[in-house]
Amino acid sequence: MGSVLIVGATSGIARAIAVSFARRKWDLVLAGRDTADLKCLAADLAIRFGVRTAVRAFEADAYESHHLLFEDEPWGVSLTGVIVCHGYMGSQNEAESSIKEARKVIDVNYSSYVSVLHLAASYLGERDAGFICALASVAALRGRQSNYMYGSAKAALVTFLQGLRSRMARSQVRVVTVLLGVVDTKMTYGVVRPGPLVATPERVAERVVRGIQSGRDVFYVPGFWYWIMLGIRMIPERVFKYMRL
Amino acid sequence: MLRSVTAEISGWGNHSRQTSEIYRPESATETEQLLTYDRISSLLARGLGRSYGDSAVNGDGATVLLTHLNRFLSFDPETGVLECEAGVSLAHILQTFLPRGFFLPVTPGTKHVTVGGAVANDVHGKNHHRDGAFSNCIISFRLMLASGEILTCSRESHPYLFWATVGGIGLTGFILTVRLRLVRIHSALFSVKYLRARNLDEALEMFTTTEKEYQYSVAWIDCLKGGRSLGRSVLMLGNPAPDPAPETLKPSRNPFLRIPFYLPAGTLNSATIGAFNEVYFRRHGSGQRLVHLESFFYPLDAILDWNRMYGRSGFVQYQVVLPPETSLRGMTRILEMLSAARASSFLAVLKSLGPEGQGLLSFPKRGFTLALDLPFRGPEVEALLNRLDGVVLENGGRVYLAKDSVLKRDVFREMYPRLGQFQEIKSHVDPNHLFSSSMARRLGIMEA
Repeated sequence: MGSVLIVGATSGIARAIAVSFARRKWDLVLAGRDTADLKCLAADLAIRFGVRTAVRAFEADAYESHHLLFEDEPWGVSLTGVIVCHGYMGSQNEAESSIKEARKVIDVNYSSYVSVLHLAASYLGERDAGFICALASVAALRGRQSNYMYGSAKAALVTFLQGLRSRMARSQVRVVTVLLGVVDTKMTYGVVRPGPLVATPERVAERVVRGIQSGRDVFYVPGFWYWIMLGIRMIPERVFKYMRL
Repeated sequence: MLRSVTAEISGWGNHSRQTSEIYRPESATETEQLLTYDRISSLLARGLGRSYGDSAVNGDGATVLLTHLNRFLSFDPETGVLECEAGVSLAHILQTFLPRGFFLPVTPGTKHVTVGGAVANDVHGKNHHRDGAFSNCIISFRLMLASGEILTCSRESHPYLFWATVGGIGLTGFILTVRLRLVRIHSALFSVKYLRARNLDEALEMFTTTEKEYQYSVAWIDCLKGGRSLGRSVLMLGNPAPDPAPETLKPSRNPFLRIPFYLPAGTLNSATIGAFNEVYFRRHGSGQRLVHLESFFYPLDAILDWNRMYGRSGFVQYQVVLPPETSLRGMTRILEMLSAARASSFLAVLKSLGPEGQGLLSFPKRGFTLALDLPFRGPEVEALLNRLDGVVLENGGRVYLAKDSVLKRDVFREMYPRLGQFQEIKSHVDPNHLFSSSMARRLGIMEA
């Protein structure tokens, strides 16, 4: 197998994605802010699956250091895939009155993705092989009063990925957009009540990895969100604007 | 800032629910943040919630699920030494290391407990008479104190804190990581011998005579029988399958049954239990078989959420140990009192325990231990158990905190004479009692 760089690897979903790749014997480069925690994950994957693991420091707002992720190749081999997972839900309420909070939501969920994804595209483009995957959200598909700041940053990301995919279409580099539904992670803990619509990170991770391997461009995880969002997108705006969603 | 969920929680017995703020940190860094939140009055770590009573519940405070701290950190196949985060479950250890030929030196009757919980309750298994409690396979652990300082505790380094934390039901701090020793096995099969005992006297006798020959022993007791058959039992005595053993190291079967919802409260009554007991006694009378370790050690893990069989009102598990010389008298009295109160126990387990360990609040000590499950019916059951507590105390025994929910303060103090030493260490490392639990407050564990 190859090796995958996971950016934002401390999140619950990223951890589970790392496990799903390791189970398939991929080597893993784990990048994130809490490198002490990433070392735990790296050790765990190595012990359980016998894969090679490496840890890299990554700060979403330290743009000038993002390129290091692609220069410092562990084991002297090229990366075959890049998955970008970091995120910041932020506070919608706070963002409505504080541009600082609003900008943080935009920067973490969009601007830093632009930086990392462009670097990944040029890295893999030079080698003319591999995949780039970014975790977007069903929140991107319709602006809702309860979290349109986060949703709009993700919407920008979705559009960006469409363009990047088109740019890379004639190369062997694939660009994958994952539209995540609600997942039981730190981001949603205490916000969303657990229920049948809330997926576990493990289940989500398996779907993401299978989706990447199956060669799809865009997919929903879990798949039933396609139908939910189809319904939600069909509601006329003049009705939708009054809905408390 | 970490968010919390306000929810009603209880122990595995599903009764006496209490409202608590539930946090779920995903790393040691996040766990440390909790120590400094102003809105948190007290903290308690919780794993998979298999303690029956209120020892893993912190009503009106913060209960911290450490189940997401679940990574393996190092493993040495030469020595079998494993270091892992405290939220790793025994099931996860078996799934990973059984195929490599390693097993837990000590395991309780369910694999769905975390390593941290196993340390905090100093759990024991069917081999206590031979191999001691869970602490016997612990080399060291890293403990996060109320101050945020992280200490590595072992028998050599901070030994007092080590022995206060072992069996210390989470009151000394957050156990973050644990180094423990796994043992080599060549097969997942165990050779199990079944013996019938006509009554309690005979059962206790059989434990003593077979002790040297078998590493593992446990007996299932039919609690509904009285008179000359009082305490009739089936003993199960096990050893690792003798060489050359069939080379099978496959881990678990998946659970084959799940109790999908709470059954009506009266499902387990003396008629259904009596019928079950009769069948069980006849089926498992005698003989010798090779049994997969999963079904020998974790028979109830085959049924997920089995605690729902007792209905919404829940159940209590009552486990006591009595010294060898008073076991027969004390247990006879207990079984008679249960029978007089028409309290039927579905699951009753008897086993022998070896010498007492050094854990200041550890349960096991030399003698015999009896564990009973009783449907929870409010004050009536509490009063009955308190009367039984009296019998246990009179006979020099003690009640297991991991199971308890009704013990009275003064009785607790007499049963756990090393409480004073525990309190001294606790007030040294946590003077403001940041770490607390519903059980600790009920039993006055922090009060002089």
